[in-house]
Amino acid sequence: MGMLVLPRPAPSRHASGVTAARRVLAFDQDEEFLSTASRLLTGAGFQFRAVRDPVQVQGQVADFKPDVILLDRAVPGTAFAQVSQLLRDSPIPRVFVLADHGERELIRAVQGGATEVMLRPFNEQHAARLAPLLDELARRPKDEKLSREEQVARNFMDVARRNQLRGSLVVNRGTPFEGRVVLKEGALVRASYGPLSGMDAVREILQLEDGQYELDSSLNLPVPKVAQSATSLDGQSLSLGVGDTADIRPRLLAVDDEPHLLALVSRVMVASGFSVETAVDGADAVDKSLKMPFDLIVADLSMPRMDGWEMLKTLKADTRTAEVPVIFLSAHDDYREALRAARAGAHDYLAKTGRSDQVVGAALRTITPRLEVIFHLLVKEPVEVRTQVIGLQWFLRAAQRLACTGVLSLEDDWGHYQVAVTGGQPVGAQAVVQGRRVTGIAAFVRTMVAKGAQGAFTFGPPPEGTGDISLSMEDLIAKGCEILNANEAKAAEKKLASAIELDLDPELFDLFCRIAPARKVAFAQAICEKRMPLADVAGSLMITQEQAADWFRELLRREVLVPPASLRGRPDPSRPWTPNELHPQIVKRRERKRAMVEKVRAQLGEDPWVSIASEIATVLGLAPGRELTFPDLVKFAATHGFEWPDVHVVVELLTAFGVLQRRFVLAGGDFSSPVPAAEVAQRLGASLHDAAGREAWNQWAGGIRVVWRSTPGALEMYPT
Amino acid sequence: MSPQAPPPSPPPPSDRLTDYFKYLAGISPAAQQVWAATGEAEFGAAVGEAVDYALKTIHAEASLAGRQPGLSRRLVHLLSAAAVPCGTEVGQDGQVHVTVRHPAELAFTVRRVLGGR
Repeated sequence: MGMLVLPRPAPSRHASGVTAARRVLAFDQDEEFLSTASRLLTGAGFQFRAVRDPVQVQGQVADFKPDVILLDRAVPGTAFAQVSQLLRDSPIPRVFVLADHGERELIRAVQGGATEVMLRPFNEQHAARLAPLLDELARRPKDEKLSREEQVARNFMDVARRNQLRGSLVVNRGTPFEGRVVLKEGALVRASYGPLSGMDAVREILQLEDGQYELDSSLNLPVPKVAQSATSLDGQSLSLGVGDTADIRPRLLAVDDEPHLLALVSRVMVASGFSVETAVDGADAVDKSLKMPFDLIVADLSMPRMDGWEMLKTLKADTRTAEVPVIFLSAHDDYREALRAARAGAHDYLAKTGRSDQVVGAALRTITPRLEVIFHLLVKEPVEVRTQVIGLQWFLRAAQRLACTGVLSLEDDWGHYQVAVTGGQPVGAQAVVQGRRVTGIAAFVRTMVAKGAQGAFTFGPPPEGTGDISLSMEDLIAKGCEILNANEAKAAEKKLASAIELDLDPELFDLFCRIAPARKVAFAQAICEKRMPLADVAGSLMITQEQAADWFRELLRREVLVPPASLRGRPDPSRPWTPNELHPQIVKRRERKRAMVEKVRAQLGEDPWVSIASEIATVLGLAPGRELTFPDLVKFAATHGFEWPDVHVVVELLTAFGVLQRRFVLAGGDFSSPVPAAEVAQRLGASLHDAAGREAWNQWAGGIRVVWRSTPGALEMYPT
Repeated sequence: MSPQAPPPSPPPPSDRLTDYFKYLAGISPAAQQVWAATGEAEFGAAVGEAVDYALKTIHAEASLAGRQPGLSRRLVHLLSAAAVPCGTEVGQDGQVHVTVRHPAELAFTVRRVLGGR
């Protein structure tokens, strides 16, 4: 993994271009940082103002009118994200102060709107860089109209130039849609991503939300390794010596609704060493993929029943089929469609030119990394594993087919993962994620979630203490997929169920689009986006009024459509009427909310308790699913300047009123199974009577953690 | 039981259940009895003890500070600090009712009238 090395410029004796009018606003909760920045920047002729509370940022920006805003990325909790979001559309340049030297932090900062990045600790060199930075920004054309994506790309290139970055920024390494930005002394040498090159490629690469960014020192493009056929690579051929080589031949599924094209693709792929199955459309392909894991799918885009896009979406949404790479064949040669394919997660996009060698070439490029792994496993050599490229399920099935014995060790930004196999069957798994160690199936599930993890498989007997899985490889993978699919479905359902106070939540709308027929989606768009009255919508979609009313009730029930925040107070008479404002369910919800807030506030009394409750609601509301523990509450109190016992009182009060839930969970074990409060009470009771009970309690309760989390839907009831 | 205001408790050193109850016992000696109560009589007695302790704390605070602000609210805060779930309601007669629920949500409650405002 490369590290971003930002050179430290020589201290400047004179802060060039500084005028008394230049103002710096710094947001941080670290007093040492603020006092250092204040001293250095004031000394360099800037006017300086510090702000510590996220809620005051916008007011201070309006009042102080800074020329630049310094944001410390290391602010604990969600305060940084909160401020960053508040300033997202602000035209004032922002400089992010980072504690981490990694490339991911750099990219995240630029994606978050940073004009420049600086590394902690803040010193006089940083202060000296601000004046030239402001001079440079002042020279930017005033009337330019750049999209947000273009601004991010330009900011990245400017950061690269100022910091003289050198090397390659790579995303999705090892896949046909690999993106690469090559920089030499801060200047762009070349950039490519799918069909794009130059600044277009830079712009697209920086928009990847789940991209795995790496920065290395290479300036030259690596020579891509491509298999000669589906069974030979670097002069080696797949041959087990015993049994049938077909067992390990890559399995390809060809999908097309035109029989003669399907036959053609099948024939050339079989001739190239693939074991080929066929499907007549997307739905057929999904069915077959669920029955048998394929190494590759080559599919047409335009098909009846289920087209290529829908097929890809369905495959990616199911953990069982998400890993299989898909190559699209299209009748069009359109770079926009190719880009759409890259964004949707396709491995490659080819125009149907009639030349079969292009399809074979793309298929061989795609399976090359897997073939490399197979050859290593056959000769029992340690092998590098990148789960994003070859897939965890695929690797484990390969290890099963070749009866390997060893340990797969992976890591990513969040933790370390190990899966031990003996004779191709799993015997144990462990994971340490953010300091918490889990074993068994829970660890395996966490390994499956780590889609960008990388590491190696080493041969040899697994170490002692890893024998905690008794399922077969297929059963283990099936179990892991079942758990992840169930979690995904639960999360999707929860999002649908807990949405309130929004006109149209894009995420919920996306979810609704997945489950609703096209006409219902058009109906929702007409009501919420176009503000059409119900009667007009019914007319334009040619449905009856009753049907329109039914569909409308469904949208309300699913809470995809709800009144906007602006209507929480006084309705705006100039706003066109939409029927959802008057729906009794919405009115009732609003009344319930008001009553709830009044009740909790009546119990809390005056400040600091009301402020503490608002801060807690903000912290938990910004990070749904986040849990607070005792140490978190102590830290929270210290960070926000509250007394610890006051914070605890508010947490217990919010718990009593159902806004928060107190949960008892097994420490280091299965986090998903909380211990019922009644059991806690019962065991505690036993401990109060005799020494044996006390000892048993200490032993048991020492392995239980106490956490608070927000009750789904309740925090929205508590305005901040 | 001391009528003096208790010294401020240090926060629990970890998120373990043992530390949680040790902390609660430091806030109110009856807190664990409230949690462990399995019948109405036990629960009533334990809550009574927790309320008495809280009232003594309030009196001690009042004698120290020379004033007695928001009695019912302070009582709720002190019980909450001991993880005893409770809330106040003002009745028609001006009396304040403090409702205490069992922390493990066992199905019984105790109501006790505290006095006029």
